Amino acid sequence: VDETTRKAACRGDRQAQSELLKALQDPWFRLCYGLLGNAEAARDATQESALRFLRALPNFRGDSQLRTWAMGIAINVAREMRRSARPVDAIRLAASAAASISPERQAESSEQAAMLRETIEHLPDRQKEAVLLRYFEDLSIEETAVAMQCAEGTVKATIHQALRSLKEHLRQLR
Amino acid sequence: MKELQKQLESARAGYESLKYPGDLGAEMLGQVNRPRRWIWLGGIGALAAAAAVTVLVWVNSSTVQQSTSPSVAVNPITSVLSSEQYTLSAIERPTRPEMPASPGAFPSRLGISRPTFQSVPSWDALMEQKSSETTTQESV
Repeated sequence: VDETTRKAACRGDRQAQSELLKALQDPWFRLCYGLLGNAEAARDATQESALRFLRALPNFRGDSQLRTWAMGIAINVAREMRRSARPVDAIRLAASAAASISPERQAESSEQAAMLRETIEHLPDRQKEAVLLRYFEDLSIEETAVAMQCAEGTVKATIHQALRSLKEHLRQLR
Repeated sequence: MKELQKQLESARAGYESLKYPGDLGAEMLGQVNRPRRWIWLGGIGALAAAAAVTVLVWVNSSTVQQSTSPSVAVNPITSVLSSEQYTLSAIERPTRPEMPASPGAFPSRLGISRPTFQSVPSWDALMEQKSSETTTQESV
């Protein structure tokens, strides 16, 4: 999204806001899915993130990238939802994950989504956030720190712990 | 390390295959504008409710007035002569009767007079009348 669209969206231009939401809807949904492990909850979290994003947009100062800032909003929403989360049924999880994507790619994607869950679901929440933002969303260490609202050193340490944990997990699977 | 990288890559493929089901812009921009629309709708609803209450009160008060006032014949009253000559519509108000020129029930102020009393006879006259009566009896 270019700077002109961003400024227009900040001024309240609905067309520009719609463009921003279109660009952010999939990254938000993926991140929330990765963090919450449930397509239904991820959809709710995405909508809540969009609502907060639109409300806070006029106050966006541009200290960070808009995308990084938007990811930070989604992280906060997911954290809040996790705090008040119910135990999630695994079968319902798989069904909702399959329903959230196009039918032709459903079989393939459900396998991949299962792989994603298998990879990160055993990680603690903070490590999940760091891995998703750094490796899946391709954010830099600095951007990940901004989105997670913590220091860069904390991000580095968290990612180090996450990779060690993943290695250990793979070793156990073999 | 290679195995971990491979695992992460396949997980990333799964991650990227996920798409938001729907159009977030259409869903959210409608929702953001919804409160303003609700304010409008609420205002119109309140006005409509106030108008309805006013009409109800007005209708009730007119019904009460009708029930206390003397009833007016609903059917048109036709005279014995012919309907063309004399027809009273139900809507027509009865004409107020004119006051008579000289009311009989209440006499005018000038007509009121004190009753007249007979004059009281004096003591001497009475005694004279008595003595004359006794002489008449004696002569009889």
